[in-house]
Amino acid sequence: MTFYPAPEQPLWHNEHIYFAAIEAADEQRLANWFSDRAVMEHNVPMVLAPMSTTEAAQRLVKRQMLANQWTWIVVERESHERIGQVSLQILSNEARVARVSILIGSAAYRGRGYGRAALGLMLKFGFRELDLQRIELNVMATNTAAIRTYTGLGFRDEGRLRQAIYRNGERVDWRQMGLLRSEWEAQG
Amino acid sequence: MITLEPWTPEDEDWTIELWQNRECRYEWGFDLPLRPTEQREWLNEVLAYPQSAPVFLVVASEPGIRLGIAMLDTIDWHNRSGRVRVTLVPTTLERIDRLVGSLQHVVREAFETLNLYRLWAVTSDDQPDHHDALMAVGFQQEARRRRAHYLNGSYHDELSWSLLRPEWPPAQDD
Repeated sequence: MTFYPAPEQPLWHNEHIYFAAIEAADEQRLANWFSDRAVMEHNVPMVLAPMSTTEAAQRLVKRQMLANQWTWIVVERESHERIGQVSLQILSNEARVARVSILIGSAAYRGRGYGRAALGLMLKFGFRELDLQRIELNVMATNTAAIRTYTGLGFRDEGRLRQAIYRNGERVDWRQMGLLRSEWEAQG
Repeated sequence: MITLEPWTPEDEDWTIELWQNRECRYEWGFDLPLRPTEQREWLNEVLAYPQSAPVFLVVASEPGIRLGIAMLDTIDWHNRSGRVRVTLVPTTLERIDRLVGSLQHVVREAFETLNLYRLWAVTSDDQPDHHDALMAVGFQQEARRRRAHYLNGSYHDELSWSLLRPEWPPAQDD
C-alpha cells in the first residue's frame, strides 16, 4: 500500500529513507513485523508471541500516550515503501538522555544499510533537534550484525547485562551501548 | 542485626518523608519522581502489582525502629529477573553493615521464595557505600552508562550490577 501524499521534502530524511508518522493503516504491517521470528528473535527481550492487529493498535495507542517519545515509520525514499519502525524514548529530561530502537520489518530491505541510515537519521534528530547529550541502546549479544552497525555509527560498548535474556533455551547477555553527543559531533 | 518487615499502608507517610530527603531519593534511584504527590502515585502503582513488587521495611532488631526501605521491583517473570534497591535514613550507624544486611534479606527472598535467576541494581558513580555493600553480597559490576545522570550541576555515570543465582551465596573467605 502506498500512502499519499508523500511530502516533497520530508522533515527528516537522508538519501535513503525518510520518517513518516504512523497511520492506522500501519497496524496490520506492524502486527506482521512483531510476529516475524526473523525480526524479533535477536531484537527483543520479551516473550516471542504472535501479535494481532488489535494488539498492535493497542500498543501504538499506549506508546503514543507516553510523553517524551517519538515513534515513526521508516520509509524507503524512492519507492515510498514502509519498511520499518524507529523509536526514541527520553529516559532523563534533566540529563538529556534517550534510548533508541529500530527494526527493519520488510525482509527485502534487511542487510542493505537501511537500518544504519534510519538510525543515523534518528541520532541527528536526537542531537540536533532535541538537544540530547547521550543516546543509548541495548542489543542482544547474539545480534552481531546489529552490533557492527551500532559500532560503525560510533556507539561504544558500555558493558553486558549478564544472562539477562532467556531465548531459545539459553541465557543471553544484553549489551549496553552509548553514544555521547561530543563523540557524535567529533565524527564530523 | 537487620530484619525486614512487610510494608503496610500505615508506612506511607513515613516513606514519602524519607524519599523527600535528597540523599535518600538519590539513593533510591533517578526514576523516583521528585514531588511527594507523584511519589505517592508511583508507590501506589508499584503496590497495585503486589506479585511483582514485594516491598519491605528494613527495621533494626530493636522493635519499632525503622531504618529504611528495601524493595524488589521491576520483576520480569519471563527472564526471571528483578531489581533490588535499598535506602536507609541518612543518620543510620554502621551504614554499610546494615545495607549489606538489608540486601541479603532481599536477595534471599528473591532467590529462595520467588525463584528468580538474576538480580540487578543500579548506582551512581559517587555512592561508594552502596558499591561496597553490593560487592559484599556478591554483586558484580557489569556496565557503566556514561553521563547518564545529572545532579548538583554535573554529570555522573550510572553503574549496573548483577547477581546470578549460581553465584549466591558468595564463597566465604577464611
